[in-house]
Amino acid sequence: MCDENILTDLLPVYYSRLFPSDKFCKWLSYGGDVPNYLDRREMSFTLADDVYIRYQSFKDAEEFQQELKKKCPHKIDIGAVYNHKPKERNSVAVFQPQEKELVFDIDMTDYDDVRTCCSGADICHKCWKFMTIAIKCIDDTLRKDFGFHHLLWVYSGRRGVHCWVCDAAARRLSQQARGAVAEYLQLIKGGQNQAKKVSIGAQMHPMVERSVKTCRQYFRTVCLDEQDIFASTEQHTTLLKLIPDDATRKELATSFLKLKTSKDKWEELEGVFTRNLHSGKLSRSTSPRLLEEIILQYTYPRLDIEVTKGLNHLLKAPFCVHPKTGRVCVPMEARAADKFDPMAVPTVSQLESELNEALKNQEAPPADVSQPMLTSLKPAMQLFNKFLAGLDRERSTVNKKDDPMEW
Amino acid sequence: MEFKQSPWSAEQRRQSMRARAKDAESAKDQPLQMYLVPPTGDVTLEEFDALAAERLQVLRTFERAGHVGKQKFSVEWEEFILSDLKRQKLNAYYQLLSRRGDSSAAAVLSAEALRRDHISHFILRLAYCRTEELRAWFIQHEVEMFRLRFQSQRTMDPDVGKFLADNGIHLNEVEAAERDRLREPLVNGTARVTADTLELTQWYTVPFVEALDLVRGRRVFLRAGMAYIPARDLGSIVAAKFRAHLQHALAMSRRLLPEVEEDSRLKSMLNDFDKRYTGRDYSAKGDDNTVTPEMIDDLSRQSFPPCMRELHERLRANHKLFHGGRQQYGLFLKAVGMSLDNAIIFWREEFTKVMDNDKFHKQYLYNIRHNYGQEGKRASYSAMPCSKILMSGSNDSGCPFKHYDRDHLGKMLSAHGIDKTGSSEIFELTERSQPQLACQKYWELVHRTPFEGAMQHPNQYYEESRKTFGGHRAKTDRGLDRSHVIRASLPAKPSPSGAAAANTSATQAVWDEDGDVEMSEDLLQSLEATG
Repeated sequence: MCDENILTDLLPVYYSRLFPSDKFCKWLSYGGDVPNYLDRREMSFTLADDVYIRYQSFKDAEEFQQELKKKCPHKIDIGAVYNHKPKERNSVAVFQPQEKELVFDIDMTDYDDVRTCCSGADICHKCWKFMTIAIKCIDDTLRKDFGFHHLLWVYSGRRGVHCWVCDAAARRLSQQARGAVAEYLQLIKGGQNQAKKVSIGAQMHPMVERSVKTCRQYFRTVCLDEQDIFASTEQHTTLLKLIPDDATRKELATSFLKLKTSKDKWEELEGVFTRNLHSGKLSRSTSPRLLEEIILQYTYPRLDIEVTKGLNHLLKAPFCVHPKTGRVCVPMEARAADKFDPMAVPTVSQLESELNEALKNQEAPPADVSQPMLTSLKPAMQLFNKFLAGLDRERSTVNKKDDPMEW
Repeated sequence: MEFKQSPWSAEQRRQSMRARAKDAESAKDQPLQMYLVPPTGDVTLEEFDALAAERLQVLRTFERAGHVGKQKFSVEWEEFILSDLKRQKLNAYYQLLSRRGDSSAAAVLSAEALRRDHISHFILRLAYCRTEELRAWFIQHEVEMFRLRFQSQRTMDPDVGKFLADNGIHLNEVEAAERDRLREPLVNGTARVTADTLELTQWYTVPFVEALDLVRGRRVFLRAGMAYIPARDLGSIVAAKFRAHLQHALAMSRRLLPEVEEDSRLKSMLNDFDKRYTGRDYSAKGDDNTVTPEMIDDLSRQSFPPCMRELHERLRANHKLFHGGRQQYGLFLKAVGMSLDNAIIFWREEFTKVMDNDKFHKQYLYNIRHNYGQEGKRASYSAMPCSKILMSGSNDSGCPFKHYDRDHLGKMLSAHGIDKTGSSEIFELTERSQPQLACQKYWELVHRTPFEGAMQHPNQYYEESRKTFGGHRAKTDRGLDRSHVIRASLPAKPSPSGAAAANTSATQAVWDEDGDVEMSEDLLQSLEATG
């Protein structure tokens, strides 16, 4: 755990030597084609003692870095690009958001009902696998179905991940469109008063089919073996509540009492359900896809629709230091999500000492290597550079005339 | 907040302005238009009023169709609307909206009908642009009407491509080879298409942003940002475009309103329209003191709709609510008559049971004050109507008759003292996805008297409830627009004649020729008994 005093000591160094202000601003300028794009972007800072200041804006990386060094925010959030510089919002008649990345926020606390290893803000390697599933499902859908290319996945520093969809078309989406994308992705619906939250119909939509395939790959290892999610009577009773067919439920309630492991109970469930399904005995209200629905309910990503929909919503910036853990919010690769280790993400104090070590035997830092590259931040920087290169490539091929995606 | 971008790109706007000059006259002669160009010419004040009133009746017809639980855009829905229009003698619109099988007669849509349609649309824009509530209502029913017209049009005008192109929608036709390659995902991904019907229809692709309703409901196959649409779903695409256009147009009208209102004749007429819309918007300023925190526990049991009573009880139990719940419940209380000061006391009392005053002050107080128009843009927010609540439904917000599963709903009903018969009547309605009718039934079971009107708003529930406790309920016409009187069914309590509960055929009120409610003897008797 990181405490505030450490942050106050280390952040100045972090912002002057490690935080990649230049690349960060290069990202948000998106090639400089649109005038004052960076300038009109809202950022917010959370300073020590929870002081929160909104409507910050900067014209270039130098100005940005100066402010960072001066104010040493404990947290930086990125908002929308407005029609005027946020700093000057009071001097214009109409001040409103124009563009913003399409964003997603996955938080581990939303998985408390399906994990036994941790709860709340804690995470471990076992439950982190849920994040892997989430990243795969969402990345696939955003790319294959929606045709987005420039996705920046970022570790949120403690217990989740964020996805920034940076395609030009994505940035121009209306609130309605964002809501529609989020709802398309959302398979788990219903609050505390809805026990069974997934309903997919007999004929599976290709997106649902793809998601089921991904989730199935992990369900056995993650839910049955590692989490042993149906072990206790209470837990398997929760499972039984998801079965609308009375006969099946009753039969399983009895047989479950004789079984111990989640694996055994699941196999029992599969057997009984499949048997009843084929003999046509299931009640009309029971979907033939019940098994898939249960798998999805236990593994599919939980999405906060409001985060995705809201044009006003500010999201934590990549490369921030998480105030509670000291870890840097590093970009990560979706395709390698399996190998990502949240416990191995560098902390700000670790980086500080690495930097000192690297520089102590030199007169001056090497001119051509930016300082983060001398530390454990190097892989993250390389990922980010690759992402930026991708954005560059798109820009050079995009037709400046009306793009059908402009709607 | 919304990106204030026109749905049209810069290029389209330029094109449209050129088109305006050319097509100003011909637009209104099209059998179907998106009202891009306003009418020109003179209209008398009387005609101004009459045209607008006529269109309003038509839109109300669409509103009613939504309340009687017909599946939108289905054949039954269409028949209901057309027969209702005929009954009300709204012949111009009956003509515009009905399918004309005979193509020779079809070609001649009365110029008069088109003219009325064109002018009245633009007049109502002025009357309904003022508040968000009014705009939402207007847009919803204009889009429904538009879509019905598009559906009817298409049966006799296969060249829908031209209409779409004229209105900025560029469809790409899908070649048979591609369709066959994508056979499985098309069948699985598109609602109501099977392996047999796949080849019977032409397929198109549009950018997914043009098909948001289908995307939202996952009723369409998407690939690389394009949506694959069978011809039958074109209505949804076109309607979405129309809706976007109308939203933008109403925002523009709102800005021009002060100028229009400079003509005092228009001003008074437009204001009058506001009142004719019988849906109130419950935007009480929240500065009256009729309801204080101590009263809420009892009031919630007596007169709150279940959605709010549940929120109240959850608040008492957990001393917290998620944002959705705080909004839904907070705005409701404001409209019920809780002042800002009392609201602060009320919320603080609960929240400080699980947090210190400081945290309450920092994180929650702002939002309470914001709802009362004391922060930010200082808008006094209206309480959420049922339509809005039905669309939400995350943690802590929503409608029990939609968002609770049968189990939870049953527990709630029995906790509230509803017996098994009443509960099953309610389940019948929720199973048919009619939450508002279910709530109305609930109200009638609790208050043992019929509910006047259609349940559209939690505060309406509350006010009608208070009337049964406080005022004297007149049995006859109270000057209400009778066409809104819809009875869900009789209350469970038997009348002295004993006929009420058993007689299901007597429970539906029927409108006769003059729009008066015709009641069977049994219905009349039991109403008089329960008074």
